[in-house]
Amino acid sequence: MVKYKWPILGVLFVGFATVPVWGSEYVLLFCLLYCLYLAMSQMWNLLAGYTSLLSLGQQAFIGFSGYAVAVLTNYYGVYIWLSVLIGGFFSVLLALFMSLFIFRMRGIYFAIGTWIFAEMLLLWFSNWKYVKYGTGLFIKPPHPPSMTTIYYASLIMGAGATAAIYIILRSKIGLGLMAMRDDEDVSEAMGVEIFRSKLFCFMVGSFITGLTAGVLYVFQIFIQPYKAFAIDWTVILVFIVIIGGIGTIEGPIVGTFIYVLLSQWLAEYAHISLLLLGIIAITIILLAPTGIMGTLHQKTGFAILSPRRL
Amino acid sequence: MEKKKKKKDRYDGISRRDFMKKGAVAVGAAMTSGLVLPKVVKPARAARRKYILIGRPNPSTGPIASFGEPTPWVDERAVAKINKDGGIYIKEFGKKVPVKIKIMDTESNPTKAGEVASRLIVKDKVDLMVFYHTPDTVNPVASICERFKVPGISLDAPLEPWLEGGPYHWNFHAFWSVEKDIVPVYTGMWEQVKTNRVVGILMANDPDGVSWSAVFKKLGAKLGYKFVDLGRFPYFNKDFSSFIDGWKKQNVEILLGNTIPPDFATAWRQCQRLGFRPKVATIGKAVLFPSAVGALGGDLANGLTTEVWWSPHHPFKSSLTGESARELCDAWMKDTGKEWTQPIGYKHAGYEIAADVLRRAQSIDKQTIRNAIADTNMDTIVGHIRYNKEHYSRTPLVGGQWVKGTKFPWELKIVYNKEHPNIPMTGKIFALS
Repeated sequence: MVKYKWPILGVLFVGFATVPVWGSEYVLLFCLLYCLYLAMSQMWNLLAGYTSLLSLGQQAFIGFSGYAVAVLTNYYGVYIWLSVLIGGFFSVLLALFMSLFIFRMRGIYFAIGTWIFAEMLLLWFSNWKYVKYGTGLFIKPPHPPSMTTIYYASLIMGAGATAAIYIILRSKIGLGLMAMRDDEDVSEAMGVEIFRSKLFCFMVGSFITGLTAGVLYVFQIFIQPYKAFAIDWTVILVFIVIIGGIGTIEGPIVGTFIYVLLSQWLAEYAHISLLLLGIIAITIILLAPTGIMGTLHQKTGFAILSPRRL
Repeated sequence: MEKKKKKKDRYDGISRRDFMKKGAVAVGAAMTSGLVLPKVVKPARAARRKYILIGRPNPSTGPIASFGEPTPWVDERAVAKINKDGGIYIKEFGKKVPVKIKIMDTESNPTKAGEVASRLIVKDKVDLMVFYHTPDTVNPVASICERFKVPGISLDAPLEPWLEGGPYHWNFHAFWSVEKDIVPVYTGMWEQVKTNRVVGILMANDPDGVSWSAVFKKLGAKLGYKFVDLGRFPYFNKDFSSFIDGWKKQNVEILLGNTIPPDFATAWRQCQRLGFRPKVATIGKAVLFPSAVGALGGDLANGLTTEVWWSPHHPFKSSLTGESARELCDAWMKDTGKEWTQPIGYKHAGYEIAADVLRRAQSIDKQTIRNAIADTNMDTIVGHIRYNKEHYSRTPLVGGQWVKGTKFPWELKIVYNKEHPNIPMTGKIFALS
């Protein structure tokens, strides 16, 4: 399998890149959502699965960056994709600011800390006249981008996030991260620069999550604080990563596919959709405690994007 | 063996620079082809189906599910009626074809609503979108309809937040305005009760609470009302004693609220316990539905006032079934055993407009349908619908008061109708204390 790694990935990528040619509009929409959720869940995976930064506050970056895009395009007439990029940088600034406080915490305290930050942002934005309180903003650029353009932006995010996590993990930092994940104190004694590596990953995570959220809201058009900063986002990301397999790069790739497929399919069965989603999650966790790809790896040794150097 | 494996791996490896170079070329090629080719290569996929499809994003679950509750009862009934004689004549098919609907759950979540609407358009290829219930559903779906150039008919969400997303080309909306309808109806009800004109504000920190309190303070002051505003409170607040103390100190006799039902229940119970008994309590949103009113417990609901956008007493008839508002409510109560709710009428009206539009358009061409919506001029079960230049049509609003009922524990009486005297009053407002 490993032998055909690059050809397989290449074919996959070319397949995705040519969706507008061969796919119907619906396939395009599906792949668009897939890429966006993939990018965000890969970043949560990087934090929770490799860096032991269990963040429950990804929605802080999603909402913050989404609002940055809305404000920049609406109030300042900034070119839409430039404002998405600026939104990503805003998200990094937010991460830096957050890290001043939450990097003093560990484990579950860190998780709660990130969540509290997101909740604070929710309160701030819903009480801020500048962004019209809780009414929400419409992202209306003078020349709305076409679906194909938005799709390519999301493809760059999805493929970029996966490539980023792979490159990071193959680097020196990645080795340190994995040592750190197994035992933080020992790895520090062995010379891993824990604080710097964690901060680096946190910033990469916030940047890519922010950019992706920008693209997402360009697609969505309407942003409203109660849902933009809602914990629902992180719940979705956790679902994807846990189902797919936490701490594997393939995990989110498979998990996102399952999630997007289910959410599309289940929306037709309104009253039982959440029930079914719950049952599926429980079944997979019981049958494959380390997620689909994690279990597959344990059983068969299958891993196409392993960060390990053999 | 070990050695062989190592060697193989190295052979497999591709240098980073090489990879980047090849990757960049592939990406470039793929993207150019993606951007240019679709217009050339993609065969025209003509719709081969023989029916008209209406997309129906609906909040079936989540916090605003009580709005979405009459779906699919209303929808199935209305569609059955439209299809009774074979449906609607469409030029493209050269014959009458039935109307079909596709209902999808938005989970009361605007993000999900946007995704669901996109899917209905690109996968199911709906010809028309009909959607309702609060800005959380209407705003995102309207935006998506604009993007994909699909005609949209929406109802049941205050005009002001909807207008924020304009100007619209493909969307048409009907409901009331906070500034032009809610304020006159609320203050009109207060005028009928002798009070000292001091109003205490009980509003949540949400879109409605924030905008309502601002509008009321601005317009109410001109009408001679004094407002005691002790600030917005978060959802599921447990302690309102500081609010109640403040109102008591300033001698508040009118309580003005806009909250979700559980918060009003908490606040209102504490008012009783702490001996705060205003003469009038007019509450938006929290007491719209009989289930929420009943949940207050005891006699607490008696005399609460609220806005009424639709009731069985509205003197309007369905253009689709010929039923009066009363008959539609009776049918609902017979089939479900539940008391009528205000969204039923609006849901039904959506199909009236859709059927009327399609009959006039006689086409599934989106532009033709859009133009037909713009020309709408008809009487529906919620009143007359005629869209203005800004693509909306204001529907009538009156005031109501909850009293002990005969058939159901609590019934809503219409006690104020000054702006719309054609809607009969069914009761006379009384003071709470």
